[in-house]
Amino acid sequence: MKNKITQMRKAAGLTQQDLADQLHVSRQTIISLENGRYNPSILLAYRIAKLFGEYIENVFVFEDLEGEKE
Amino acid sequence: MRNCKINGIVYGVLFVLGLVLLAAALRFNLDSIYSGMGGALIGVSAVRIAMCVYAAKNPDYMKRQQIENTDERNIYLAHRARSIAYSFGILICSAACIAALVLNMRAYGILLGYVVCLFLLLYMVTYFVLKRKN
Repeated sequence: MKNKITQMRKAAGLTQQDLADQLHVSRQTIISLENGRYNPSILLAYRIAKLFGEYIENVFVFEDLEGEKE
Repeated sequence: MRNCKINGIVYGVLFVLGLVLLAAALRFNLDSIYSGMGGALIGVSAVRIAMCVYAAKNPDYMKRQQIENTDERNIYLAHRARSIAYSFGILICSAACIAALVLNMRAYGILLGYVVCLFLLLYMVTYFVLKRKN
């Protein structure tokens, strides 16, 4: 799942470590999230969106499978 | 902090147990398994106690450790690693079971077969318990 965490983090002037500290996760988790290698739980996704003052769907881009596209 | 205190007590008890085992093994010339277990308990407990003391003196380190321990990605990775290790464990046990039977080591083959069955049974029981709870 793609996301806009990197852009939002940079816009907020936060480092990966700052974001990790605020979310109580490791910096490695932030790196994996930003690279799209790890899909967060709904709770973490909610916390990330809340931190940036956005809705979850504005932070995370849900991509339907090719066959399911209308 | 509370966890560290509890861990400190538990590892303190294990340290004393290790000392007793080691002393008993040396005093009464017991099998080397007892001195080995005693030494291992002393070593592991000493390291854990030292880590607890270090963490208690360094709040930053403790906070980082707590984050590492509760980090959802770390937990996810640990679960995946366990799941993969379990699958490989069953495969290896099954292969060893067949190999033992082919090599005419019937007792070992049957034992390994039971181990595989036990693993599968545990999986099924855990699966149904989790299914009912979630």
